[in-house]
Amino acid sequence: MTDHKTGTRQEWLAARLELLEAEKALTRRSDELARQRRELPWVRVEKDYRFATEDGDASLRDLFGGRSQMLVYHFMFDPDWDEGCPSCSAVTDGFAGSIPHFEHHDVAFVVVSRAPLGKLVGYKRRMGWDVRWGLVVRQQLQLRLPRDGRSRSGTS
Amino acid sequence: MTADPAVAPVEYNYKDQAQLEAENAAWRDWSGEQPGMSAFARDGDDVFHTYSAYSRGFDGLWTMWQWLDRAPLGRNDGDMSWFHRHDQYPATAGAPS
Repeated sequence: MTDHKTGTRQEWLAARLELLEAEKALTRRSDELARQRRELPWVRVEKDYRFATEDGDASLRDLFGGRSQMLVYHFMFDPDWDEGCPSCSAVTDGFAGSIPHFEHHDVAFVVVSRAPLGKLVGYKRRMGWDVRWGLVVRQQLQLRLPRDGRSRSGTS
Repeated sequence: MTADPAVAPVEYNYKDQAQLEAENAAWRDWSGEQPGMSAFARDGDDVFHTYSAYSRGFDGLWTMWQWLDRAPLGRNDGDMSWFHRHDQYPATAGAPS
């Protein structure tokens, strides 16, 4: 017998409807937050980030593949590691299937790491992911939002 | 994202090394990788950085947890010893108990 509180279907429904109001409030708040996120100022990227990819060397602009937007996931893969981070692997399990949808919504999706390209390609094949995975070669892709109001992007 | 001073000055989740150490002493003697996501926009040849999030800032993008949040016992993530890469679960594990 469970130690958890139990109840009748009617009691469950009453509690569920109460929770539904809280869920709806969160959904509306989340929609509002997404709108605020889209209102952040855009910061021009001045640094010439370079990536090694399966299709050859690429700039940050090249990674867009002609699309107007791009999402980048920094996957933890230390150059000394032989396999990627387990948590990042689970995150990738989650988004890999969505990439065709992103690409048909004018959004490129790229995974970047610091490990040698051969390790990245071997690992993605092992895990069965059809993702574009690039090695950051020239600059660490570490972009900061300005704290002081001055426009600033990138660091090396 | 790397937290290796030999690669780049340490900054994570909009905090520098001193702030990170003040919040969690584990940052003091540690260097390595941390996850993050960023968004960019392109207008012709111009590229703009529009968004970045780190740590639990993209909790919602780790979809496994969103499903487990709706399971009766939730994430139950105090003990993560159960968790592996998807091809490294023992053949006998994952069966109903």
